[in-house]
Amino acid sequence: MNPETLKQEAYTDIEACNNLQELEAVRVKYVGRKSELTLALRGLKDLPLEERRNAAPKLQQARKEIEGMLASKEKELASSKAEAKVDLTRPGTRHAFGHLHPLTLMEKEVVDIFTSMNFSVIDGPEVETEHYNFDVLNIPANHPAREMWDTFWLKGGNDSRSRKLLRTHTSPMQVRYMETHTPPLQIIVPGRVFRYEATDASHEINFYQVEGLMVGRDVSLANFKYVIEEFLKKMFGPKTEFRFRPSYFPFTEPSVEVDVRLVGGKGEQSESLRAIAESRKSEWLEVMGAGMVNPKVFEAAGYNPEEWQGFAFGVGLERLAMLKYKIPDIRLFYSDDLRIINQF
Amino acid sequence: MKFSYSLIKEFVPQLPPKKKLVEELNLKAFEAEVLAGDALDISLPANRYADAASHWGIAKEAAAIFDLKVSLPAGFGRAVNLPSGNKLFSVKVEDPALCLRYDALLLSLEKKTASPSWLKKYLEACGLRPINLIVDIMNYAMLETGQPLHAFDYDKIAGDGRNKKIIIRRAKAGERMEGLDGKTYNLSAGDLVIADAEGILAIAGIKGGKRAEVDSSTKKIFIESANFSAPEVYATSKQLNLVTDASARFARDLSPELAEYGAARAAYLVKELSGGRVLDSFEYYPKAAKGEIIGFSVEKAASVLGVSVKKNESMAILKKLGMAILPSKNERFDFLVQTPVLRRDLQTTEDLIEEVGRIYGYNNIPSRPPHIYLKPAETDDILVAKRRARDFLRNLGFSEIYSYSFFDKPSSDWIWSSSPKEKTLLEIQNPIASDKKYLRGELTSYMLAALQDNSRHFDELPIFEVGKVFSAAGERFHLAIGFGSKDKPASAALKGVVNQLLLSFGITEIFFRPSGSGSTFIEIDHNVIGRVSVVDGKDQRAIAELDLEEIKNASSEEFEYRALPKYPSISRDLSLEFDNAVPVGDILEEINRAKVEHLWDVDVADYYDQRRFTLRLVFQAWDKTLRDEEAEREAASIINQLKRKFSFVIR
Repeated sequence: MNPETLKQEAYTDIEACNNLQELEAVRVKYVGRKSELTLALRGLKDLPLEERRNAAPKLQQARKEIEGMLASKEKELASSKAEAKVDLTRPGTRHAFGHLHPLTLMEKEVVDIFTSMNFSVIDGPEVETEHYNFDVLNIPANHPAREMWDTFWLKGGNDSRSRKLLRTHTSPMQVRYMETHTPPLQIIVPGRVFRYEATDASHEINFYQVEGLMVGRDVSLANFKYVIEEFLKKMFGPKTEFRFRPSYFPFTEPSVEVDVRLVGGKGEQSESLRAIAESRKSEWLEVMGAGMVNPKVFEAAGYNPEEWQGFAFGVGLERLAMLKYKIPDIRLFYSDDLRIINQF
Repeated sequence: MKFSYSLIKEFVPQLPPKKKLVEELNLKAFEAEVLAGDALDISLPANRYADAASHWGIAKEAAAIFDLKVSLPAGFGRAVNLPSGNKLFSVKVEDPALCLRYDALLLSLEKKTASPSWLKKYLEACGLRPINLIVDIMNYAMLETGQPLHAFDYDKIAGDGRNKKIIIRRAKAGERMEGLDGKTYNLSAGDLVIADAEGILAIAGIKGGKRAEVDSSTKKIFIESANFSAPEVYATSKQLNLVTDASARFARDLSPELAEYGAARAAYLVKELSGGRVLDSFEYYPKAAKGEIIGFSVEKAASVLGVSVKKNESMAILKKLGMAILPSKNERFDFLVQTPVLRRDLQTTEDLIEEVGRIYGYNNIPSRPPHIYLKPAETDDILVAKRRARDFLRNLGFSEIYSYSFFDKPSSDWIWSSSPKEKTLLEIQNPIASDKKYLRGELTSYMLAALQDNSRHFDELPIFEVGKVFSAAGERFHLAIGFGSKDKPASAALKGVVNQLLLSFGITEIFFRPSGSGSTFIEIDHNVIGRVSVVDGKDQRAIAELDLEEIKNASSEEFEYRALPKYPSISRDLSLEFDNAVPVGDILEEINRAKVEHLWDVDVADYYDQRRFTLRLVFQAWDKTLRDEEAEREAASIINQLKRKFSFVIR
């Protein structure tokens, strides 16, 4: 018997074992009481001294190694047996997890971008007076400019400071905030606003805006462009392209409208923007109205327009959320269907 | 507003192609869009009707943008050499505040022809329906000049010669007029009208009347080219709920100067197309409108725009827009600008800066980060509270809904407050629907609907909403939490949520006080801040509504370390069986009254029904290891306390 050949054979047999029973049979075969190896070891005493001295270490070594191989295989088989008891392919148990409304998520995203640029976040009243909603913003009574804002009026009141309405925009907070704070300042005002109009896929009687206002000694339109481009890049991707167009709001002068490019140009729009382009068949999408604060608004707030200047903007949260989450109908935001909410 | 591209091109022969025109108008002037055929849609802001609500006006704007010349067609301009004083009619303006200008022309019509096809084509491109030659000319002259015009049949005006009197006055109560459209308009006292001796001929600046309508037998026409007070026309148009091409223009404050262009152009076209002759004319124009003189500072413009536009370039832009440049003696200004009389929107330096900015091109202005004073940014406390409540509930498995701010007045008690002001709802003057007449005074009704609406799709419904509620006392953020479950008591689950929520705001003194059948008040510091209500009678659906402002006010961030107990605690379970149903709350209150020294915590370990439940009492001493006998003694004193009020056995 050649111990080296025996080791080779034992190794092949041990590796072929699939379970502990088979391994036991192999153990008996190679190191059992009646195995060739055991018998050979037992027979050593009958050998001449010279021969014994030569064979003994080889046989003992072979036994030790085979026992080592058996032990290691046994460990391997035992552990795979334990694994078999746990089925890790079972799906994880479901834990209750709630969902924030998509408009909450959107507002959070907008607010976080602006707070990262040192804007304060302010809340304002939803029931407003005619005075703050219109008069101080240079939107006189009996002027068709007011038709830009279809208004819900509350009963009662006999002058513009006591006549109440549901704010048609978050802009009244520009003056309310400036009345009680000294510049320089930069704020955003997220909140619900209201329009008296028929609802359809893109119009609701209540919706959300985020107002922005920055006032300083030399805050300029170029500064506005920077702040808003940073905002839109964080929102829609670093390669978003913009354009600024003239517009008209009684409370800003100059007034601008901001568009983001959906297709064309350098062609590096985010996927969500390209998807909108497809559904809208347009190259640009209007995302906000803005401008340099009209000196009349500063006067109404008690600031000296010779000393201060700044920009203001208003952005619709639903529109951003519709773009970002591909929601086709504004009315879905105000349905109470959890099957929709739970997607966010 | 619809425009004809080829008619604009008549004023600017070198006008670039339609697509290019629209592109540049968008970037430098107005939102514009290419429509089918010859038409363009241009959205004019309210302050630019005065100069730009016409093909002439758009032509001037395009010429400034593309640096081209405007060429006026024959017979376009100010009226010259009109016969007047022939006493064929008279005009009386009763109130100078109502009518700033009244130009009138009397023309004879020599031959009757239909409108030529080019005229019809332009009208149709602009969305107007051809009617007859005279009406079409009036409309066409308006499209060209921007001045609304009206033609009356001279012979149908009451009176003869100088007794044919046109009066511009306010309507009397009860007066009515049959319009050209055949409808009868009931006027209110104060509405501005054009009348003769017999009554109303037209609603000034809004609508012509049937009585003096021009038709195929008309021999002489009386053309009115006037300027009526913008707020008056706007008010009358709103009152009658009637918006016409003319009223939309007058309401947006046209310049009285425009009247002359309109009259001259209409007269020229009538002479050309109908072979007519001017018989007499009249002008009422007590106070001539003038352009403004405004100072321009290059430095101020650079500061507002954030880019330095050179003096010469600014001057060139303003000149292109029809402004005259004058030297300034005031050092604050680099020069003075005289604005065109039709540009009523230009009143201040900022208005001029806008003109320079838009023609220079907003997209040519660089983006530059602002220099700011580093002042810590702050977030209003209530907004922080909103975010905390939302995050907390979301993490607890609740999903958020948004509902409308309007509701129908609920029949029952909708708010826990006893203050009459807080119980008075705010009512909408012009509600959009009969179930949206009030501002919501609570969030519970919408939550109730949400539990109902979603019940088909979910076995368990954890929902919440954060939103403003309104009353005569003001508006406040409320928080509504709804819970629906098919197999566990909804109210107990909700009370647990409310409790944890308040604890997360650092509020520890929380009491639930029963407030009637199926509902309990939530109190902190003896102040009711909300209510938990079972809404289905079976305790499978419950709603909690809380005042978030009160939570914000009571919230505290003052946590303090307390050493862990060094000695073991002892628990004793008490399984009680009462003779009659009892509220667990009453039992817990009674246990508190026993005031035993080492009672550390009481909880309901097992609840079988209102007669049978198990309480777990935990005893803990801070200075020693409590002995069993001590715990037994305290448990016995608790049982004694309960025995005084309730009849029960210990199982």
